[in-house]
Amino acid sequence: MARTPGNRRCLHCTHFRNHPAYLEAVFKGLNSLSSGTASVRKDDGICLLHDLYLSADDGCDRFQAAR
Amino acid sequence: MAEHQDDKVDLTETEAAWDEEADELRVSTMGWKELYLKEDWWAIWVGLGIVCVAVLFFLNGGTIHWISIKPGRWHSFDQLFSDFGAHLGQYGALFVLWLVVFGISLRIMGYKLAEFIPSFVFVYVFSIVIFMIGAWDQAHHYNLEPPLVALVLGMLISNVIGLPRWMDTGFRVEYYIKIGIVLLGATLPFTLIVWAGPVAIVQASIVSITTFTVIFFVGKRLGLDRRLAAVLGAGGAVCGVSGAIAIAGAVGAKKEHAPIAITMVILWAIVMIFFLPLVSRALHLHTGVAGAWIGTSEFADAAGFAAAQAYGNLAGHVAGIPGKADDAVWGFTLMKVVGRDIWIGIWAFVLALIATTRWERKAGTQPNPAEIWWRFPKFVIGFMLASIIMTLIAKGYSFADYNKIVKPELVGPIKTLRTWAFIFCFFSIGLTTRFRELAAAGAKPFQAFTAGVVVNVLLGFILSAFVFASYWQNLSH
Repeated sequence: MARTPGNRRCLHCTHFRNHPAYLEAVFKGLNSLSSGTASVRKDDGICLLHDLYLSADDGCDRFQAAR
Repeated sequence: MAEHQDDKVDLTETEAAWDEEADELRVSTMGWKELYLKEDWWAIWVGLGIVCVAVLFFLNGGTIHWISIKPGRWHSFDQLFSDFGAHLGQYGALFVLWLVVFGISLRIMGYKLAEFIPSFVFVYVFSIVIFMIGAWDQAHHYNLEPPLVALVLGMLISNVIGLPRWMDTGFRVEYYIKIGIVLLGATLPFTLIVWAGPVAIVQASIVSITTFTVIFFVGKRLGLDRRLAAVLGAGGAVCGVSGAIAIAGAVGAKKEHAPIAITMVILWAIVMIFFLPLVSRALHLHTGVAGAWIGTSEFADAAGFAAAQAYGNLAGHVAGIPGKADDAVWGFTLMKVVGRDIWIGIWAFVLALIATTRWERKAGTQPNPAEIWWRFPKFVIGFMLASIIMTLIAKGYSFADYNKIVKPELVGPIKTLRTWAFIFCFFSIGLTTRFRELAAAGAKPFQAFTAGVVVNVLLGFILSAFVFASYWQNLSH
């Protein structure tokens, strides 16, 4: 199993959302006892295509480069 | 992978609202950028900055006492208003200090000042009132402990009256508590961390592994998706919402899993804020023992500090409660921060490894051991450094001189600023806990999580009050 190449990671995919304020808005209660800007969250975010909450380092064959 | 009725949450409405700005919703905050885009690092800069300024003043014969204002003990309203009027300028200066520090850091992290400033004015004004209530000489008689008052008041405002959501920008629970924890490090001797830290790690490991195992296997037995079971397990066993969200990302959970775990953690954390101090009081537990128990069995740092501080404040005011106020906070900190929080990276790496190798996660991913460092709650570094700095300063003084000079001139003002940060945090917990907005979790996640709660609370009590009691009762010594 290989690592996803840097430029094809979820972080650069058009389906990926990981802004702290966005996540705090989507995950109601996240900011109540944690935070979107906490270190433990790394750069994880939501993949709208697969409906998953993923690491930004992940990737898949449906990758679509963001603008 | 089986679908379950219990893990369905509708997120579409919020997503639609955000799609217009989709390109701004991907941010990279890792590498060097973490130093100014993550609140953990900002907690270090702010917390250690305060400690360093305080030390500089102290070493030059001064003190930051003037700006670390707090309400004096009062009996009548005349006394209260007269004290407040006499120190109005100091309250104003302290407000400006916090506003500038929080404003700059939150702006850099991407939050809007136009939202933060009015929101923080609201937090600060109410925090003064909460601090004043705590300074009333009859407060303990009526159980008006500032952490609990702040929490209840916040929950009443957010759930009965309601506040616009943009105000959440100023209700930074985690940021405030992390700054408070770094400042707490300045009041905790490093020798104590070295002495009790290993005990805390052993106790925390026993409880964390047991709790995770119970939640995970009960969840699986009930038919939950194993990723949801893992996310719930981490929420109950490691560090609450932060643990749950970290594991959700590490194992690639469904996006509805995290909100379910968040709901579970918040509900049980709020219950435990009241339950653990209440039972501790009924059993007349030593404050150090209660602090360790709360550190073992509470689910989040902020909630746990509220419970530990509320119980610690009873020492010396309520008959039959042995120990000092600091013991409760120290016991809690050692258990929660040193014993549990710092291991989240290892949990995330191990579970990511299991998810990719055993759970047949999608191809193309491989966990990286660097995960352990990236997910490490960095504010703990600030906590340790603050403790080391103050321990080195204190080393040059006899015990008598420490109590006569260092404590009132250096440690006391830092402790007061810590109390402010904690009150901002406790009030913010209440303000951001909107019960009707929490995701519907379903019966099965509730049952699985609750099974873990029961085991966690009982095991935490046995270990704190019996097995390791001698450690927790002797923190002050």
